[in-house]
Amino acid sequence: MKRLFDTIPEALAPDLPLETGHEDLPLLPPDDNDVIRPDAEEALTSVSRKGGALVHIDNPRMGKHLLWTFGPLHRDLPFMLQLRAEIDGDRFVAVDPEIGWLHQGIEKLLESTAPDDAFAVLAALGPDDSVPFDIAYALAVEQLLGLDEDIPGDVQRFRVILLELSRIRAHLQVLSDLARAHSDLRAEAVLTFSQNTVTDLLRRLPQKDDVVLHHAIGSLAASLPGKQLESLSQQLTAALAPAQAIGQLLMQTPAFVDGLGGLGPLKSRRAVALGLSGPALRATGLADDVRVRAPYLTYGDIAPQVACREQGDALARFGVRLDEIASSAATVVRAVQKMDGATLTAAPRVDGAALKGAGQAAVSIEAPSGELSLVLHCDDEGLSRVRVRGPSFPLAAALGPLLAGARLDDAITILSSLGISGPELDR
Amino acid sequence: MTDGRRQHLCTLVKNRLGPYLLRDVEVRGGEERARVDRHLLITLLSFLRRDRDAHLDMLVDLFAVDHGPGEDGDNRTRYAVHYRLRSSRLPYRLTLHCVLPEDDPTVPSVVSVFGAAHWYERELYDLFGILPDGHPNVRRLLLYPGFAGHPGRRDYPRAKSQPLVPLRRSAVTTVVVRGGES
Repeated sequence: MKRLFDTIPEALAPDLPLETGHEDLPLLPPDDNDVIRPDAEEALTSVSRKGGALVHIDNPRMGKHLLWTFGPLHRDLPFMLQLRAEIDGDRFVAVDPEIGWLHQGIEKLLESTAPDDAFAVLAALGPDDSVPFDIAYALAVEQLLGLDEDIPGDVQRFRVILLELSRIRAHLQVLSDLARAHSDLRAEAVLTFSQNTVTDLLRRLPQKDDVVLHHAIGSLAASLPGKQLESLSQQLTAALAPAQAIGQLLMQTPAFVDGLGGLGPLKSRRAVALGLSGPALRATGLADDVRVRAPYLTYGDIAPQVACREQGDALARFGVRLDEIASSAATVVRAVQKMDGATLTAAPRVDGAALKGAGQAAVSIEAPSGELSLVLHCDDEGLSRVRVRGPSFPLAAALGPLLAGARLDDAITILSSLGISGPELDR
Repeated sequence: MTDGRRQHLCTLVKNRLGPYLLRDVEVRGGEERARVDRHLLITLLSFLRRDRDAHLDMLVDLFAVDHGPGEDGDNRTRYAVHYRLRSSRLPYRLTLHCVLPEDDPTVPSVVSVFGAAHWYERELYDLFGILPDGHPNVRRLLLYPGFAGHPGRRDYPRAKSQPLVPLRRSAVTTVVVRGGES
């Protein structure tokens, strides 16, 4: 099907003053200039041009189609995103997401940054939490330097703890966003409170004397925080109890189930074809998880439980994330228990010269919203290409197919259920 | 995973499609890598996606590497386009790459095999100027239409400034009827 936004290129650009509500430029309602003739009228035009008469038309779409742009700045959008939509009544006919607004140039910046300094650049990919990017980058550099087999067990378990805390934090944020989209402010408040507590844990745990422990290659930047780890399991259990209770309650509330059920549905085959992974794929019934399928760090010993649902809609994605919060908390507890308290030496600094002629390294880890793929290429001059493909990229690419046919007021709920991160997209 | 299982995919391709399809085969980090000529790319990807034993049904990533202009003026291997594939059912991963010359940076579009390649190939064109031949809608993805050059290339200056482009208004549009009349 040829889409309207391919036909009317001048309607595609954003009108920032209009959309930000500038006083001198009142927001205009759509007028006849925006109206496109319905199918029946098109068919009449076509037939009369050939000198015939229209006798019958199958399933005519009598609604008038509008071309409308949402964003890139809109109070309901979680990040800079423009949705150019062809609308029929209150439903999307086709949606073209536009993601390029920040132009951060992260990959280009990383190519000219020494490995030890790269963590500061990676922080831009996850302003709330860059732990998955930090650890994937460290794993890739360790693979390049041939250190990947020699990482101490406690360092690996500490990385697992951080990754799982990061997953819990991200899942709580998505659940909180979905509760807000459903106007359940009480549930949103409880989930946000738990999320803030976990965020605090995630920020305090790797901090030691102004050093971030996991910002190091081959080991940690300093020795492990033994006392904090001892109380971590209790703190985490206490922080998650209200969130899990309210989450389970929501899953049994008919209004919530009816509100999210059937939104943005996906079958597993379709999700695979769209390149999706993570909770969006597991919500379609496919138990796909990089932690289990190709275990890295110490996930092989800890064996996290993979959460799955069958329906493939926003409610199933909510349920998968809720189940994964419990599963990740159990993984953290097991990782803490398996810590053997070995004495660790701080990692030596790795500069760019160490990577000259090191070849290629590719790492895939399970980030909160799906597979995070990171590839490093080195030539004789050092790092020549850094490729970071976060899970948000295929999820944003799938927005068009997911929103086509959906109602306008469901767009934010469907978008929130996917857990897309804006800075990760616009790298 | 044993080395025997790691080399499963490349052996499978050699047995089914012939010994000369894949070149420079190596295994590292639990992942097989190989080079393929671009005119054989679609054939190979279609086989890997549909064959029951390969079952590489997921395109994890598609990206380009610019090796820079050759020192001795030989630019036949300037670009490489990498396709990272994995199976949703089996524990296999494979990365294929095509080598492209500087004067003909074109690869066949693989959207017909992997629908997920749609945005990746737009990004390929946007950042590296590599044209996916046969792509249904090639246009920039991360940058705007007035952007000059392709910033992923190694000869693109990091501090280069771009021309200012006028803001386009969307409030009033001309009527365009499907079928070409206006």
